[in-house]
Amino acid sequence: MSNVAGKAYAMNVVTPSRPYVTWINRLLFMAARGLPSNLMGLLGLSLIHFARWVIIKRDQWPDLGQGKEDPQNDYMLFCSNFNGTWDQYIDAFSDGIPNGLNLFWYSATKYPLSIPITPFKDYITYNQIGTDYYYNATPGSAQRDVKSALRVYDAVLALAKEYEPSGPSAERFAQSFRDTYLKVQNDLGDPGFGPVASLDTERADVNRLAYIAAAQARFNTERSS
Amino acid sequence: MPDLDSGHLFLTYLIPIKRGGPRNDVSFKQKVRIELARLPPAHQTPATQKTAYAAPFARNLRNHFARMFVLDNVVYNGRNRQNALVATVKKVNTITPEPVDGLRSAYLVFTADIDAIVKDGDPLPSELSADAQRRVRMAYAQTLWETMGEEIKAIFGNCHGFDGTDSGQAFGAYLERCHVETTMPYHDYYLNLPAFNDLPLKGLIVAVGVPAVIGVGALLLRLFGMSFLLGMNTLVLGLLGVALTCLAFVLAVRFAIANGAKPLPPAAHDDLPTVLKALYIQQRFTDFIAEHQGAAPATLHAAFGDFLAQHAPADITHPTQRPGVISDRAPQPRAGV
Repeated sequence: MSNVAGKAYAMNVVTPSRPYVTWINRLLFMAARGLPSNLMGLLGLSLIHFARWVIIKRDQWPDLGQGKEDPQNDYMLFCSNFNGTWDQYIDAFSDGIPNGLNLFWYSATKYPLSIPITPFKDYITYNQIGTDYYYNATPGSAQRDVKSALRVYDAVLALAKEYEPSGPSAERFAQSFRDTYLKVQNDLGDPGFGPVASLDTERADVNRLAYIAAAQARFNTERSS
Repeated sequence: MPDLDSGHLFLTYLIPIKRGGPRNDVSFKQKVRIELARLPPAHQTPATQKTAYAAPFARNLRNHFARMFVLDNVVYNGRNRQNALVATVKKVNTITPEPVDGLRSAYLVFTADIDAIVKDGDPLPSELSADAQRRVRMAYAQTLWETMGEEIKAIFGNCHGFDGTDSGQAFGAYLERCHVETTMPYHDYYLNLPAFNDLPLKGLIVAVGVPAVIGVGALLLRLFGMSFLLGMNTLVLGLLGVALTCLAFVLAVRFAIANGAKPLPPAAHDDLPTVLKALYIQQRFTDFIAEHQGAAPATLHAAFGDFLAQHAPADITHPTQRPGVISDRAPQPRAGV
């Protein structure tokens, strides 16, 4: 089990919600998307790549022959891909958008509100589910790193458009280059490892290698046969 | 359809795991966990860089993030609070436990944040009909089947209703039965904020508030003995006002939900191939700057020409960074695995 993939952390929280008010929760989500001033706090955190809230109504649990579920509650699944440690993330949420959080978990049963933070962290801890497999296509880059790279890329594309291979343009190009450099100087850099969660995590990675190799060798044989 | 936002699909699947287990073996639930533990992760740590194998999700160029976890059961947070006076009046026996939810099966929860495209190279869409979204999901399932079919069989073979699934098409149809719509997606790789779908909140408040004020006002006048106002029966006016308020409220809620469900447009360089290319260019351009500090204009000009020829910024397919690795220079998984 690992909640960490490179610089990203996978959080999964499943909270019971009162069915007669989940429609209000849906309205609050949709209103937030239509009132961007309410989204600015979330955007301002700049540490989430992708996140989602999913309201699972009582009749939405798939029935593939195992029998229809009959829960008393609706459930909300929250999945986030964020950077930093678990504590930093909860702190950032609680400090940055406390009321936004309270609105997003409006229908959650026994939700303690985001301030004070200790009961809030206890609630998340109790309702969080560990990730069994987590994949990140850009493990060396945090969300801000990705945006930095996009800014550099955007600037390089613009610079490339100005570049003329021949003609008396070297001086003018040099000026454009300096302007670009000034514009992106805070966005330069290299991707790198995320923090190692613990020595145990590191050892678990090493110990799993033979186990993974054996499984993959078997799959490769099946694929090629 | 909030599955679609910023040109990506926020896919959520709940897949019921078979109860019990094969004879003389661990439970199906445990077998799912074992198979997930056997999947290679991305080359994301010094230890994982020692394996030759790429993460199976890195065998395609649509996945930004993917995760799977076993949901054993739903969480019970304890008895709901209630006012002691109300409980006393209602004669609630607090010794008796409340009903507690329990799922019949454990569920494999599979979520993925993918480019909402049917084939590689397509641009990210701003909008997709429900049917077009289904086609994207089916194409994604097909891609997974082609690139990690053996792993899928090993994992999903422990789930209800999967037996007999033998093609990408069948796997897509299977996943469709497990699909749950995402309510609120969130993603931010925007260099410039998009045009949001602004909700006319004041207009909605007026639409609901005006009939409410008229209705309540008329009923109050009726209460104080005024039967007619400007020739209109205050009771009829009041009831009409309340009815219009209810209607306006329902319509306003539906409008707000529909408005929020409209997808935001994709950002400028938001698809995974471009993100990977951007990371590659960032590294190379940083090197370029370091190597050409203080260079004369003519040297710089010539060197940038070489840079363009070597790294082709406008070509997102090559050269670029592979998915699921720390950087272009870090140890790479073996090609094709």
